[in-house]
Amino acid sequence: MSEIITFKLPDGSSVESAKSLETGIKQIAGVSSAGVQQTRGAEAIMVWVGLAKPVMDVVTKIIEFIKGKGLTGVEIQLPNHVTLKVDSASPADIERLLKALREAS
Amino acid sequence: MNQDLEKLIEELIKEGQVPPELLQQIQEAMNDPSKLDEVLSVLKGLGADQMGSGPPLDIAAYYREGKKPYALRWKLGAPLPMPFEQLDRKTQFFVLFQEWTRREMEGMMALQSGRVDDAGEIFRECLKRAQQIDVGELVARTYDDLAKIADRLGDRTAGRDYSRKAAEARAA
Amino acid sequence: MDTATLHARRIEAMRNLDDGKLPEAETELTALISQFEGASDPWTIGEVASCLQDRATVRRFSNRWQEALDDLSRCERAAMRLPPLPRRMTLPNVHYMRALVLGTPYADVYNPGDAKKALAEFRKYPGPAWVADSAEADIAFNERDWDNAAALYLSVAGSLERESWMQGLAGCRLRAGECYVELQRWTDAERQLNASLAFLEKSGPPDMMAGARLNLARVRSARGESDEAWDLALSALSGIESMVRHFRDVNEQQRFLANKLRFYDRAFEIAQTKSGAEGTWRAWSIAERAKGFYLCQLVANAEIGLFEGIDPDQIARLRSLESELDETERFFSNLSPQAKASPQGQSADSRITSISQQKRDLLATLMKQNPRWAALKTPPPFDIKSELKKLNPQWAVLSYYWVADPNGDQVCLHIFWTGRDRLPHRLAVPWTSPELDALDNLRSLLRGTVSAGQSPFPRKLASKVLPPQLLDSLAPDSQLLISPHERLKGIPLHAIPVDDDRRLIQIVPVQFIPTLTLLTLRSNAVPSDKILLLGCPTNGFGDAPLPDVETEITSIAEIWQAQRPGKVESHILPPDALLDSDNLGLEHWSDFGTLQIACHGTFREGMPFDAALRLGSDAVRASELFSSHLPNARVFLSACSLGSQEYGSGRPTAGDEWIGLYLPLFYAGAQQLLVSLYEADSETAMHMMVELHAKLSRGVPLAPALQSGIGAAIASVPGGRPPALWANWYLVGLPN
Repeated sequence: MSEIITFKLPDGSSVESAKSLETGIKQIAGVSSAGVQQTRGAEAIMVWVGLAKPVMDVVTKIIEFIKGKGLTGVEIQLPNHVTLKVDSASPADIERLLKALREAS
Repeated sequence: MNQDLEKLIEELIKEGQVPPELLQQIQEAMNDPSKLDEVLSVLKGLGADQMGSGPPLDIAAYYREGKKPYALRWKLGAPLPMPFEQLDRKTQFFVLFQEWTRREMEGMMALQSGRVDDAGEIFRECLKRAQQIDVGELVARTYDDLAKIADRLGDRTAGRDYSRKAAEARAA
Repeated sequence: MDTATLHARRIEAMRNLDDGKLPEAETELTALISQFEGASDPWTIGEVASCLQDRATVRRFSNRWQEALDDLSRCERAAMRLPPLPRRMTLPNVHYMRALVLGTPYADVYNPGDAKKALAEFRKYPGPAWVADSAEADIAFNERDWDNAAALYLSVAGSLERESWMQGLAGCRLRAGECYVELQRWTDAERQLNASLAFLEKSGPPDMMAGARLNLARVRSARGESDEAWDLALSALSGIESMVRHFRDVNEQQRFLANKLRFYDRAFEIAQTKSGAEGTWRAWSIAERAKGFYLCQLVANAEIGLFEGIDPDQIARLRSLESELDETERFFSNLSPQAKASPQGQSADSRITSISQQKRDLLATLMKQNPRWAALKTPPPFDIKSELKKLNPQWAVLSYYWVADPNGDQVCLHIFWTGRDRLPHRLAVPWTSPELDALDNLRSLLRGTVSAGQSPFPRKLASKVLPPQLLDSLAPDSQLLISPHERLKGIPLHAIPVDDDRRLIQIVPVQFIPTLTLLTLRSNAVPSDKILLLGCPTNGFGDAPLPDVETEITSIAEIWQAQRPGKVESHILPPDALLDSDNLGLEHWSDFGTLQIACHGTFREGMPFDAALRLGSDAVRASELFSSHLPNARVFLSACSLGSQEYGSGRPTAGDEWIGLYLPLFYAGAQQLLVSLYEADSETAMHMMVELHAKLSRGVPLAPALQSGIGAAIASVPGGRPPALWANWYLVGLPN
């Protein structure tokens, strides 16, 4: 299975907006799979993304896509509770994220 | 108060155990009314009457009128001014009641000193004394004392049996 | 009540303690203290002080340390109101007991500095030398200074014997014997232990008798007399278990067990001294006995209604608290995130915790007061060989047991398994501290919302829990029954990677069981063939709508209606639904053999008995399920986190209890549960449950049906659904 990163949408987001995001992300080269994660407990809605290989520009493109849709308040969640705010993610942050992803796998 | 007696009582407070000399003094005092009041007064002030088998008893409250005089079955701790048989029935009752008190205290002191067999023998005698004068509370207290021995020896069945008998004697 | 009666009742309470009936002793002493603590006459004050001191003793033996200290403080305050002599008789005991409590290494109030201070206070009251020596002996024992402790205990024993304190004498001999065992002075140990046992076998108390037997077993074991050692160890365990069963409240039972599990570890060691298969069976049976006491006690006594014989006012109070909790939760849940963070929101949140605690205390009181709980049935004896033989040969059985070395930091995982041939196998796998930390870290990550990228089980630990020999022995039709233990409880072992692409459940159906001793309590009754399906896509608690729920319930209804026409009852509940008003309350559930409930679920940390299914405006809580009746049912809770267990400090509970919905549901008669260990992804749940029911309806057994369901969920996403999204599904119960 490819590496997975999860994007947590802001509180109050709808399943439809998550599905729309999922559809768009799936079109990005380097993304092997994606899905919406809505739990039957917490309010959070997330989109998970499988990366064929976790390279910098795939993740950068996903972040640009999210920002391009005008979505703010999205958080990237990694295993081990590492998080990163998409709104303010810098290239250095993304490097750290990829490193954490490799370590977590 | 007698200074020796004061010292012995201080030792009792400090050590938490009755020194043998104090025990002897108390026993002598039990047999000498002139000394007894003083000893009892000091011990009462320290709360000694709030230890032991229960609150002090009003002997008169337990006396019941009857025709038959009491028999003296055990040697008295101290001589009386006249033969026991010549006392009126009520006075005989008082004497026998106080004799129970004396022996029960001796039993408790034997138990506290670790002389369990002696204590048991004394309490069994106390039971007969209490039954002779037919005072339920004394019977109950004696059973309570026997229960203490049984529990100490680890015989909870006997302990429970004695406690049950004590409750029955109080209720009767 | 006069003081004579008060005294007699106190003495009787302490006799109960010596009989091993700790809860009964405490209840009586508490009643006496409550009734008389305000008295002003010195006789009664003295008795109350003694009651407080005695209750501190009971609480100390129950491992409720802080409460014991609190009682000693109250005893001290009462004693200060007494005249000098009775005060003098009481205070040294207070300081002595305080020193014992604070000086116990496994106590959560352990403070050697304060223990020494208390001992110094005690020494200000010179008394019989043996009392001070006894305190010194206990300190030496706790510090594992065996030579010194043995010498001191024997010195004390001499004094106690002279004064005929027979139980104390037996206790000192027992301790001295235990010291000699640690020193491997077998002859000396045997002499003291035999002398101690001669008294204890007549008079108890049961825990001391168990201790003497267990240590004698260690002596026999060291001499190679493994069968005699084994018999003694079994007697010791039975003695401890007889005391454990007196605790009707699970928390109190847990506290009592905290320092008793060493009995099982020692018995486990002794079991292993027998060579061959017999030794493995013995060790395995001990491992299972160490798990799930309270659960087995509940299930063995399932015919006792929890609220039978209880004061109706108290039941009404419980119901009132439940309603208040529902109302407060509805209010809180419907607040916006900002409002939740406001003072009003925080106040509601605190109120929820407070009501939950009141409910929990009341439930504990009701269980203790139920007159029928006083005569609990003991679960049947457990013969592991025989029970496993009764299982369908398709079941391979895998069990875990952790043992920590009392002398050091070594931890070993003992793995037992048996296949179709029912020969026992065993492997001992040492674990390092980093590996244990990784496992504990995993548990903390697999709670609440779990990221889809989270690995449900680290690949590097796979070989430490799954012996390749076990995997090699699996046949195509095998099913795997797993009995986890401590750190492995609530971990999705069915998601252990077996190769680069697959996880355990993808090669064999998996089901969990809290303890194999539950096999003795299996029911052969046939469950109802009726099916109840309840779904709530939008509830009255303001939770986000779950569009998959309606699809799930509707699809499952169609599946079953095709197979069992007229036997299916299906409801989609609106937000304002109230189960009782709609005749869908718990009494109605007893008619069904299969229950599927799809909705939001909640499990708040610290409130395991308020874990709830949110159906309409109702929250069906774990505590309410105690009074439900689900004869032989299989229950599928398609909701979040209801398979969680309370961990409190983050570590599994002392007696390996499954504290959560498991207790009330198995007590209610359910035979299998399918629950979620953490937040359940709604879409995954829908795919999985529909396929599961499709298979079940065609007669496929439950574990393979779940395997198929998970397979369908994985396949529903091109490239595969991440394991974290399906590994939460946990099938637990008796194998069918």
